[in-house]
Amino acid sequence: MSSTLVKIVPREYRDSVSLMQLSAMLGKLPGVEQASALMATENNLALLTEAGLRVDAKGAHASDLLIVVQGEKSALPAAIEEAMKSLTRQTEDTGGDARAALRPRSIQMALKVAGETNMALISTPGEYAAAEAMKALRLGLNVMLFSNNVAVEEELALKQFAREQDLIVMGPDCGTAIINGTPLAFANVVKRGPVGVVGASGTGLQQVTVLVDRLGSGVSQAIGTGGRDLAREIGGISMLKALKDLANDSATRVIVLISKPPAPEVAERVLAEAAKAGKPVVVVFLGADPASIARKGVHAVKTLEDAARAAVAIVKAEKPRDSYADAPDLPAGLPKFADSQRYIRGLYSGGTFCYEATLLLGELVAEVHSNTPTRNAHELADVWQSHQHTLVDLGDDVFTRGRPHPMIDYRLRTERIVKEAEDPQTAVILLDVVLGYGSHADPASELVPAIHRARAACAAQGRSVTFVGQICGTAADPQDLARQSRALTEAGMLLAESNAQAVRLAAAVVAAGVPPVARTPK
Amino acid sequence: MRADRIGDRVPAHARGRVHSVFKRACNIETHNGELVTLLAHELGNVPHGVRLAGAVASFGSWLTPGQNAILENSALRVPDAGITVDLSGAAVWRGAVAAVLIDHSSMDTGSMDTGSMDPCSMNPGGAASAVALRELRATLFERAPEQGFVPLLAAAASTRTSIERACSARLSHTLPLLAQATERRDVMAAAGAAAQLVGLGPGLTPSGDDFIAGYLAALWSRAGFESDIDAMLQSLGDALAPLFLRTNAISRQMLSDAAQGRFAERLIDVTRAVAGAGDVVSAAAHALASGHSSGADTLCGLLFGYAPDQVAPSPPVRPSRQPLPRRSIRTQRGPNDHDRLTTRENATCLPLW
Repeated sequence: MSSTLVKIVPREYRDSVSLMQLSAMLGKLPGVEQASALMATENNLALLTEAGLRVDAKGAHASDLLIVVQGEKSALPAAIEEAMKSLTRQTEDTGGDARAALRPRSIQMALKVAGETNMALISTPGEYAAAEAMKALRLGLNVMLFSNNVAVEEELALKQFAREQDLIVMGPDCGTAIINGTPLAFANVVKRGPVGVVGASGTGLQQVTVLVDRLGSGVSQAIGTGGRDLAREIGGISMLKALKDLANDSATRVIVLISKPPAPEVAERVLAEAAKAGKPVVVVFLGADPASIARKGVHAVKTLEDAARAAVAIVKAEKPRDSYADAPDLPAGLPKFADSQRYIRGLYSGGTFCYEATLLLGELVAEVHSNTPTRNAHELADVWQSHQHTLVDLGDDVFTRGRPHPMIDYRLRTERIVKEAEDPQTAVILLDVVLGYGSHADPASELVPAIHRARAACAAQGRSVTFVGQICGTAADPQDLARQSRALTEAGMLLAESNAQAVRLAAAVVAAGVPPVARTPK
Repeated sequence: MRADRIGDRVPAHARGRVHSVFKRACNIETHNGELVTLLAHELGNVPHGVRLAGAVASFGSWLTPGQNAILENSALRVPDAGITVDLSGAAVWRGAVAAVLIDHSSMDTGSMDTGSMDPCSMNPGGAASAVALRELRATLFERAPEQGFVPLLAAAASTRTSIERACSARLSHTLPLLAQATERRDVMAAAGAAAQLVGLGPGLTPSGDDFIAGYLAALWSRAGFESDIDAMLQSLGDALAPLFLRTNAISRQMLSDAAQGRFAERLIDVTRAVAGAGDVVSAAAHALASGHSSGADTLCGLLFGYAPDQVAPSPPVRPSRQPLPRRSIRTQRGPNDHDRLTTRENATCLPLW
């Protein structure tokens, strides 16, 4: 039989997000059926009674916080204890304790505390970011600029100043880096090793560093440049600086450069410097023809996976291949699709994953639609509505207004998964799952229920949909890669090793499952 | 440290103590029991707020509840924390809503499907507001978080906890009473229904309080064109005032301001957009980013105050993702909408509004 336990915390004001997180955390504890952290107002106390909970809250006041847990009697004291611990942790995290009062409040103060610091990570609203970055540069610090909405003129001024001081500005909008083994912002926990990576794309850096780790090698540094660095206006200032630094770094034996196609003159400058680096450089400019990039000392490839594999091959003193695009092995027992099921629906949280997938799928099927259109794909007319083969970057601004990025908040994606499954034309739902710091703490806990809901919706219409995905993560990531893989596999998802392999697998599944008679929709 | 905006409800002189501290806001309780909120620059203004001109890392790094605070004409000081906020250059911000003309004949269709509506053939203000409210409703139901009133009004009862079911039952009972009271301009009945909502639900400012604030914003907004609503508001504030003692001090300040026709900037921006001066979807999305569910609950109350049948506690049709039709924009400027851009801008006592 269910019991109820209540804790009144006098005059406790926590913001609504913290209260919601506390309620959700308590509700997931073993033996807890429901939990709520509410202000102890008259109406809320009455509400608990109306909900059938016997709550003794004598003396509670509207300014008190009421923590209510219902479930197995033996589990409830531990839940309340966990709630109190969580409140304490939140206080520390928001700088509300005495120790936090001593935290540095400016870059200058931080330098006094940690004088050997040589880098500042800046994450402020865009309008302040450039000024803070310039302060840091003037203090002799390298800068990782996480903030976006920094004007291109400000970016250029910062990078030119940094270049004069022999410093680097990583960003703006630099979401991923691994510096001296420390993952920064959205980054994975990878082994240290001889591969240095420079990327103008966050998830591109994550994919390459993760695969290098899984292939048994490691990363010396992973340096983000910000997505605009290789545009004509900026001229690749940060990539050139990072390239020079890695060329001079004795711990780096191979360098990998990642970008969408740069402005031609910028590409030429970067490749000329790469050829002079004095160590092998692997280049992946997604969407560009590798043949136009390759030159002495520069090994050009087409996909992020190929870049990682080529780099590790070079580390092992093997000759790197031009392509590692092996044909996928289709598992036995795949369900046949109904006549109407003909298309792949890719729902991406990583912008570069979507971009790469769109390029690759465009080579494998007739017509691909996306909100990140490439040279071989069509722009999606309505981003909320898939059309034929569709790959959607759910991290696009249109989806993230008023909500966190889809690597953190899976709600939009789980809703869309069910919606796609309900579409009789959907054959395969293709997903990326990004682990590491910054990302959702337990993606499988969001995706597995959505997969089950989607399957049920499909089954009700006499169909079955196939899920294909890749997990971008390492065994050392905080989300527990093995557990995530197991949960998703048990839910029926076909997991590929990389984004590129997932795309090929999805295309193969559709090709194998679609009956041979052409049924082009009228 | 310098402030760039000061809400028009902030007293000129006061002594008090730090009441509550959040990352981006801090409340100071004056000896009169009012709350003055120190706001990080990126937050919207509130009527009892002082907004800083520059960025701050976290108020929690300097301020602790109980510290003495002194508000004078030109400065807000917290001596124990070594903080002085220079108010001398701060512009006064006035948090009044925009007047909106609601064409109730176009609302009676229930669905507010404007696909067949020709804005030119109808009362321009009413037709425009009907489309605007449709956009507001679509944005609200699409983007509201999973907590608060909105999902309780939209989701199937079987999926809820017993607390949520009880809350849903309370809404099913109370909202029709509040709608009826509003329709009849019955102040006592409206206060009776509001009594069932004050302090109800999750959140630092409980959902019911946010809902009432939104509801009052809609009434103040309508009062610009509907004299009987204006008359109702003259006595509604007095009728509601005792109820506000049933919730916490932060909510109480918000509701007290709302009863006087003063609201948070993000909410005001939505009323302005509904009135034709701005984009409803982006204003609503901005407002929804407030707190966890506070923004959604407030907009839910606003929509209810404009058109109660649009917030009926029954499963609404999921709004289309199709682009919404462009509506004819006609700025409605009413008696409440004066001075906003020339003198004060508004600020609330809550960190998130």
